[in-house]
Amino acid sequence: MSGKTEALNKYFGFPSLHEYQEPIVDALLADTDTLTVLPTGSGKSICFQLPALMKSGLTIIVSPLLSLMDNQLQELRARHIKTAAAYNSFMSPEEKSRVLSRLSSLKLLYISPEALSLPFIVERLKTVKVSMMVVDEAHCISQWGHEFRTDYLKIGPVRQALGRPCMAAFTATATPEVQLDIKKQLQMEAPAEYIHSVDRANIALFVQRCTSEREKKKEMIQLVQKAPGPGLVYVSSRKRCEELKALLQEETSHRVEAYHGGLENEARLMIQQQFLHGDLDVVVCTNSFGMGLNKADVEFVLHYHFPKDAESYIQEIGRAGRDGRQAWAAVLYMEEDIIIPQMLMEAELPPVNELGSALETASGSRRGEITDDLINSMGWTETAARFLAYYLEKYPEKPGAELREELEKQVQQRWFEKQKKLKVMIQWLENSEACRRRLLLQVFGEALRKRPEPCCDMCGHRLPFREHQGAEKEKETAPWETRLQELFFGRERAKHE
Amino acid sequence: MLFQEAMILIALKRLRGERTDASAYHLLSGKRSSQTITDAKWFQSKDLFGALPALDKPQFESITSSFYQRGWLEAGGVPGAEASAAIEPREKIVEEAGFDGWTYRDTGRQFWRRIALLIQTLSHLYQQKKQFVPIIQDVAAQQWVKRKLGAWGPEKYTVMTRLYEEMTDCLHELKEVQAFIFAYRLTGAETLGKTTEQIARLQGMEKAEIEYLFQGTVHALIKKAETHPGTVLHECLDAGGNPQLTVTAEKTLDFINKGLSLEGIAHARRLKESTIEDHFVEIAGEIEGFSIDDLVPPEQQEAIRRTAASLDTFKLKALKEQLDSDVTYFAIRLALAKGGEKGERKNRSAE
Ligand SMILES: Nc1ncnc2c1ncn2[C@@H]1O[C@H](COP(=O)(O)OP(=O)(O)O)[C@@H](O)[C@H]1O
Ligand SMILES: [Mg+2]
Ligand SMILES: [Zn+2]
Repeated sequence: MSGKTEALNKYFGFPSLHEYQEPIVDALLADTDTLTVLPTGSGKSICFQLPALMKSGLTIIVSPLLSLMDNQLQELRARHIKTAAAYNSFMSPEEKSRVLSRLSSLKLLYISPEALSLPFIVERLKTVKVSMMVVDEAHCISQWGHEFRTDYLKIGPVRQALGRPCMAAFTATATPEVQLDIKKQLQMEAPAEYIHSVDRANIALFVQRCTSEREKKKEMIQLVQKAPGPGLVYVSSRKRCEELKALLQEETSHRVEAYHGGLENEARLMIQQQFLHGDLDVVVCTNSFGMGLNKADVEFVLHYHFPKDAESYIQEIGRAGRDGRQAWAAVLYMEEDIIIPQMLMEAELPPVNELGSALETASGSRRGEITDDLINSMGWTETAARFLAYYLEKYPEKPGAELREELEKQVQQRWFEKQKKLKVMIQWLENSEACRRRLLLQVFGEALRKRPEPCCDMCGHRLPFREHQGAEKEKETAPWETRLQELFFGRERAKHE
Repeated sequence: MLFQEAMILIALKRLRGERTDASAYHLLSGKRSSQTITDAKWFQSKDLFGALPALDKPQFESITSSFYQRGWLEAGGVPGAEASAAIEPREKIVEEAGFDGWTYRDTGRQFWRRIALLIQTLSHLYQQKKQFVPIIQDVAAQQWVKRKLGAWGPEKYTVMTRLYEEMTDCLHELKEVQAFIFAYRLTGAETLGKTTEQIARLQGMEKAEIEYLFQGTVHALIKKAETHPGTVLHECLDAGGNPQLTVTAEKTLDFINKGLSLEGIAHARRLKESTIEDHFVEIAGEIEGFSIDDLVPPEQQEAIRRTAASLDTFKLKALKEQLDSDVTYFAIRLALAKGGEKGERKNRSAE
């Protein structure tokens, strides 16, 4: 057995690496810079976790979302890997200093990009041997990527400060343009590249045009009722989430719950776990659900509202069919819905007419608190506030009027790019001739090599619903005494007593 | 009638028109201010403190104004006969639920996290399932469970059986529905917990009421645990209960302990004297060993309490008018805060 496989067994309990994982792990063990584009669910984390555990020194993993960090850490903890920790602004001062004090015994440090750009953190990191830097969800680094985050741009300089350790970038969706940008920003000159097709052949693609909200609801109910699930229904807002959940509970025989940012932590976690364990058939969710959620047997992803660009779409439908079984994705498309991504996009950028007063607010802010101050006193979204904070830091010397002009230009530019991507998404939805798969791949600079069957509505295929299993759904009315016994001792023993 | 509507009426009934309507709102939403805390105590309404944490002011106002229109609330903010009759069943539930947000809101949160995580962990270990996602993300609770498991060592399964028995006993003493809610909220190795909303659907009840009953169960378990040292539930408590002071009153207490006078504290903290007076009232009600004898002569305290009892009111103005002119409002509030707990109330049976 190779050292790799042995370590894989030991740490993760898997018999072998997937074929496509092998060369990536090898490259990282040999300290080669890498750029990997692999579909969601194919197992990117292991590609860097395994070499990180095998190498000496610390691997820094920059991760965009708190929930993603949490998820990966939890999975590592569940596997009793104790040399991993996270550092982010949501931790208490005590937790933070505890992590920093054990840096030298850590193998994996998950860190938010904001934290990584703090000078004192960089100083602390300089005191240990950093063997590798990993950027997960690396499309965030590119202004052409769908979740552009300005604080990602500081990773390159930090790498320099830490003595240029080996750099690895991972993402599920990156157009050729985004790939170029990632390499440039991370200062990777000639990385080994592992670019796999974004195509998921086992997910059939459908778009259903609707002319009214009523029709959409009717379609949704029909599709969900026909599909045994498990499935996800994506909507744009918390309110809609709750509304459609109630509707599906009423109109279908499925066990349905809603998941969105407005739920309490405990409830959110419970619903995620219930879905994971098959206690739920359908979750109606906003796009905060599913990030890092590994459920293999998802049958469908239904978009009640479509996302703002093709990258997000690929990302979201990628939660279906990870076990390789036939799955499907469908969008219920109504022309009027275009206003939703448009509003979201608008909120992600600083409002041009508020730039003047925002600059005033920011000039009274302490360093590092600009973002928070803008969110609190201007009511801006986090993305918009970050955007401004980034440019303020980038041009500290520019006089007010000039800075404002520059900012206006930047905002316009971003708006224009976002509109362009939305247009691509709309064109894809409105297409009524060509194969949807071929068009979607085109967006990513790929050609369709082999048409699967079923492929899409344009290829004349029907939705491949799975068979309903006759299994009876658990009745939840066991008396509390029985329930309590099951909780402690398990079903078997509870049954016998 | 919706749960929150009933709770608002119950709160207003308890306040007997002696406080503004807004006081009922502060009480129910559980805002920790000196005034609310003393209200909860004087009007024996700890079981309402924080009972509707999600209630917001506009909602409260629209509910009360519709009650005024319907005549369910009379001028002065007291429920009329019809309203009183309508809330009776709910009043009974409140009296029996064991809820005490005033004393246990924060302890309750911690206690629940510990119990929930402990049971999840033990049941996984017992059923030999190692990997699980902790249903409680709170780091403090996670560390607590880890410490406990370390301390119990191989005894942990005995502890688990004891905990199971203790919980069964405790839950049997409560209403059936409360036991149900609690058991279904918990997560084990094979059984995932249900959210409040899911339980509400199973029971055909409102979410807010389920949440209240759930918290009531937690508080009842704590009360039980506190008086039963040697039990596993007792181990889930923190040693030495800490008094429930607002942060700012806590600071004032630090200064008092350093020997500063009321004026001195106001000066040092750059706060108004009236604010520091509020803190004194809060501290007097909260800290048993805090003597107010230097501030209010004992015989004056007696007079104040006697007058309050004979007039059957906590209305400061009414009391002030009855008492000698040298008795200040501050003195009245202090004396009532100290003695408020003992004061019997006529219109409500004692717990
Ligand atoms: N070699 C392997 N053998 C078996 N399972 C694997 C392997 N590599 C990864 N996995 C599993 O695949 C799932 C998806 O992995 P993840 O890293 O989250 O995917 P991605 O980041 O590409 O979306 C995880 O549950 C992981 O444990
Ligand atoms: Mg990943
Ligand atoms: Zn096709």
